[in-house]
Amino acid sequence: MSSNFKVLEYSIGKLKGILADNSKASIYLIESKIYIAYFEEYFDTLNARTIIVEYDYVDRDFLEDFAGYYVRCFPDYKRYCTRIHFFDRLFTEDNFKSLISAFKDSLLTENNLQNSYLGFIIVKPLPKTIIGRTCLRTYPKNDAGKDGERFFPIIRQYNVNLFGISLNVETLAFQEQDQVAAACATSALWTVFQGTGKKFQHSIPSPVKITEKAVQSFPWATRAFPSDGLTAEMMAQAIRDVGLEPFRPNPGDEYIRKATLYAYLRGQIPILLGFTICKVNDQYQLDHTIGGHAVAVTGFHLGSHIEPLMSSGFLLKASQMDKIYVHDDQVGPFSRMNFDKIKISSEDSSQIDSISTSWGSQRGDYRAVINLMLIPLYHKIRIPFEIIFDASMSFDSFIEILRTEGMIPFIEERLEWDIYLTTINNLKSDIFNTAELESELRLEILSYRLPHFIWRAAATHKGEKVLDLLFDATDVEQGQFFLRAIEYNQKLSKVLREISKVSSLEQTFQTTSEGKIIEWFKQQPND
Amino acid sequence: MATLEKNIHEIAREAREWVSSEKGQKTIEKALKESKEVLSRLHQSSVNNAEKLKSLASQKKQ
Repeated sequence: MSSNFKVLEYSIGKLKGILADNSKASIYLIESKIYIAYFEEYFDTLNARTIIVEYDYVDRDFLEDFAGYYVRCFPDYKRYCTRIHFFDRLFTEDNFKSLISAFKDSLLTENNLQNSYLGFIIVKPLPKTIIGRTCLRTYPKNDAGKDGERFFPIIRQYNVNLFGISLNVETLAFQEQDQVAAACATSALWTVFQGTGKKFQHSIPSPVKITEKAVQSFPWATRAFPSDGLTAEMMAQAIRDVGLEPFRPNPGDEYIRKATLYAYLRGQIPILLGFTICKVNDQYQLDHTIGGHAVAVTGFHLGSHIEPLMSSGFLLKASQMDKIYVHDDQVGPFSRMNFDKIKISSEDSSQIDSISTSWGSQRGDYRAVINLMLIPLYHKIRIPFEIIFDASMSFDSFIEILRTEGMIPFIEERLEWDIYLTTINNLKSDIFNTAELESELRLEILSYRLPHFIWRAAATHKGEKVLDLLFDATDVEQGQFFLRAIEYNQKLSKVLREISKVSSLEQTFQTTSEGKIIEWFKQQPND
Repeated sequence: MATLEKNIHEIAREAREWVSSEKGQKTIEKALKESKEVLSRLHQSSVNNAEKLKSLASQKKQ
């Protein structure tokens, strides 16, 4: 009886062999792929020890691509895939057979397998682009220290059934573009929908469906299949098609770009990032542009350095962002792009912000210049980040003036702000688990009526919470979108409540967004 | 505790007096204006960068 699986000790050589044996790609083609070097480093970091190869696996996403395109091709493409499972525990095929045939003396248990499970890769039976749905555990979490901290707010649980054994992996699915049913933008959209589908409860279309729907409203565009890429408008159309609203903030300045990425990613919303890949020389002078590319941003890394905003000195936590993790269909899942402050100089000597990529054989010679951020939002999230950022920054400058003039002597250092999108449930869970609020205020906040989506601007002083500003993300800009403050520092509250009643202050702030914050303090009793 | 309470009341009263004063008002208005200028520069630099990107994208492959 031929077995439907094989168990092997992991090595990158064996992985390459499995990829070649179970697709129509040659070993030479596989070795030339950027993701091979990436997988080698990634599986070393995750300490992969054993592989289980599951043959003749039916993958829903590939089946839809197959039904939509490959089945009608003259060559005979297989509809079954191969699924490769990875574990950080060493075991043999006999150990695994003992487990699934229920031998009592099995050295391996279901728990052992779950605890050591690193995820899986689907191998598609195609000639060139063979990496299908891939769910791999994220980089190990590290504690905040001098090296900073990684965050993967978008990941969700994927359940796997391997011959009756229940396994799961916390991640966000990835796949390589096949350049037929999907281009890079389609793969990035597919990954983004893996996150938003769970969060906003919409169906997740397959790559072929995404491409089909994206080009439907563009009759002048060239044929949909084979796909040679999507424009920003087509990507926006694909987002609308799943029932979400595409929001396109200006991607220009690096400070505001990091702040925007952070604010929505913390709100568990994946972001589509479009950029131009540039080949540069040793002095980072532009050699030539390779073309446009799109990836899904799925995580970020915060370093230890907080960067003051220009002459204002405003301190925003998001400025600590020194890396993003992206699902780049040409590189791999959770691949790093560094905000290393390197500017590209072009022929006309203009200096352009760029970030690092893992493209090319020699690291550092391919740079990315961001030109698009596309955020898929639930239609009720109406207030954009920029409004909240501007209001919080201006309010901070008011507090800073009070501080430097000695009006709030108990605040010795500049406040640090953390601005992000959240939900009522996440906010209240956070308040429930905090010990920094006095019981009466805690009860008041936890029972306070709030909208589903909230912008939170949290200020800390020497690491301790002093103030949370809550804004209604579902309101309109002309409305009174400031909901309330949560006052952790009673002394600061006392001063703010007292001074907000000065009529000239109301006049100064009357037409501004931060005026809505001052107005709230004015309405609070002085006790 | 009583001293602390007195102190914070005193601090709040002094802050209110300063905010009401002409000097306080002018300082606050100046700070607000400066913060708006920084925001304007920030958003303006976004626009400039977008223009640079356009010129980069139009550059022919050599």
